[in-house]
Amino acid sequence: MGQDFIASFRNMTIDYVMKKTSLRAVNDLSLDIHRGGITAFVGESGSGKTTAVSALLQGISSPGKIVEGKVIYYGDEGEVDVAALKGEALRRYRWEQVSMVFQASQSTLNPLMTIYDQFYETAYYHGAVRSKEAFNKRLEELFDMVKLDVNRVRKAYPHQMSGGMKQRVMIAFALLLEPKLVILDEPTTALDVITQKYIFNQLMEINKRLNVTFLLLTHDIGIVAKAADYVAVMYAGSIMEYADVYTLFGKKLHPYTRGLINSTPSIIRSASEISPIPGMPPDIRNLPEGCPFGPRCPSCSERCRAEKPQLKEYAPGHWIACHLYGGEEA
Amino acid sequence: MKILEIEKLNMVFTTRGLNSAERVHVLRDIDLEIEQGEIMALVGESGCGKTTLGKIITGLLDPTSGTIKFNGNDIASRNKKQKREYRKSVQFIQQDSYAALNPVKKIYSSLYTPIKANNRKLKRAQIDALIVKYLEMVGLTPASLFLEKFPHQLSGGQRQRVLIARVLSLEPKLIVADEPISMIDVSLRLSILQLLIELNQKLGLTIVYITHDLSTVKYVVGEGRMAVMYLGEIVEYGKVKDVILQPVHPYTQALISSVSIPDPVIERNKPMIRLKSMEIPDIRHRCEGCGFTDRCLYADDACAAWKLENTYTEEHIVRCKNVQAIPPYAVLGEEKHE
Repeated sequence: MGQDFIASFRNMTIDYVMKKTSLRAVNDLSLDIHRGGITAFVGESGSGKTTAVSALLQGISSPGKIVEGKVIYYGDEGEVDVAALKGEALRRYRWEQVSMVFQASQSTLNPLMTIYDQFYETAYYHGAVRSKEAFNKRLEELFDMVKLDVNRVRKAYPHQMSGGMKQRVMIAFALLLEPKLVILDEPTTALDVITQKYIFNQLMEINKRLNVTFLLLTHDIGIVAKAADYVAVMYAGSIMEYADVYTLFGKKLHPYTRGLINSTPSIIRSASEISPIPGMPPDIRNLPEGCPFGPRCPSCSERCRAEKPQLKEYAPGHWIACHLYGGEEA
Repeated sequence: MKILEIEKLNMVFTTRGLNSAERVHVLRDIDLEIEQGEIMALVGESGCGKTTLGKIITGLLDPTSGTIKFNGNDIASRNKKQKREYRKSVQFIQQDSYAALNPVKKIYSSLYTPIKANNRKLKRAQIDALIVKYLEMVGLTPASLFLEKFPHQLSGGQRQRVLIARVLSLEPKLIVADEPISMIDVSLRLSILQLLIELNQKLGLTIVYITHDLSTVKYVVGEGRMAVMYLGEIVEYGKVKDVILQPVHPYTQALISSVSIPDPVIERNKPMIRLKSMEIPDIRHRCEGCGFTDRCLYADDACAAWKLENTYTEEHIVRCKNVQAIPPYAVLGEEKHE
């Protein structure tokens, strides 16, 4: 397991438990994340992608709770049940094994500290500072990777940098302790197009060179087409389809995947080639009994309304949760 | 017929520092013509001046120099009545629908006030009927569900529709839509754009669509025209199919090549355009000549001092000194991928 994969979600269900109701943000999710490469979780806002992946850092915020299943991380010393980590072990696991570039991460930098101090603090408390010289060299390496001028950035405060620079600082920050897995949550949403492309080119290069695994969370189909190796399409807390990027885009099997791709405007598509997905985004407080996408699906049948399709392997490496595929057996 | 003609428009903001005043030249020699009934896209990255230009078009800002003609009349020489008429005919849809609606007023009064202010003689019942008509025109049906709501009770897409209804209630001729979809949910974006297209087709409304999202331009504008802005200038202007499929200005080429295409085969095989620097320079330190000089691979010593002028063809305007020397760029290479 640990050879090919870096982490596994096993039948994971996450609820936000409130006084009167509870919301099922993630519903029975199972997936093995390939070691190396970029795996993308794509879905609309509220599809549960951030909640699901946060479980890898024990980062689900209250009142969210894993009510069933677990997340496993395959470390150097064997399997780690992430939810069972505590105290010092958890502290070291976070950032040394798995780190994250947050959405709007530009505001996660401390405005009162220089970049150098923030990096130093983190490295120091993880025992990663052997000597000042070695640390400085590491900084140089990191900033070189994200193409930032170390002399300009190290003494700078966050407000002295542009959004694109801060985002690259955050990427360097996530790589500081040489983690095996980095979660990128909408890493370029607030940035201009040219900067966006540039950052992704750097990320892809880093991904290959360091052999680190990236988990990319995004709603942007274009970015998935550009950067991802494997794609999990999420809808209302469930994975609808999982495949390598070429198969997913080439076959467009699941009706939701097809809808998502066909509803994405592109500079090379004219209006007649683009059709929106009918209906409204799902209300997770009030999901239908059968397939969550059923109410918006053009091929919805009686069976889809009655029974939720399970994620099944349709072809090697290609998983689909849809009654249209996968034979008769449920 | 041309509904709007802008000529040699310049805008200089004066900012006051602690002990000095600074002049920032944010729009430089803008020439733009908008035909009656067209949708035109104004595209650029943050800080290029596209919103400022939109505000000038709607009369929210007065330009420092240059002329603007609306239906053939120079708007600088208008009297009070004409000014009022212009303000009514040219309307602005803001980017942030939450900030654009008064949070303590119900949707009903947000729509009532502008109609009343412009039609003093209308009776309450007539205005009520108009409000319902416009809410239903933008797809908020039944209207009665929305009249008594406060802005925070609506979704982003619904608020955006309210803004559009409010603008329509003044029966404008020209609408400037400033990033109308950037703050709403991805899956609802297409429907707001569809609404704009519908209004253009049904009511013959002229629309200036301001956006940073190039992917949506072709969808909204179709066969129409687009202008690409960079640091206060329109660097390229022409039919969408020319500008997107055969961009000429080095900046447009870089911009178009950066837009990701939702198809991994095309996306990963398309030609790349390199730039000397990734950062957009500070507009305060922009040189007098071509603003793209610092980042452009084809720039020479004379570019920074070049007197800006429009070149290339009549239909496809490019502001670049070396326009003849720029190698062509095509997203799709030779043939269109199906």
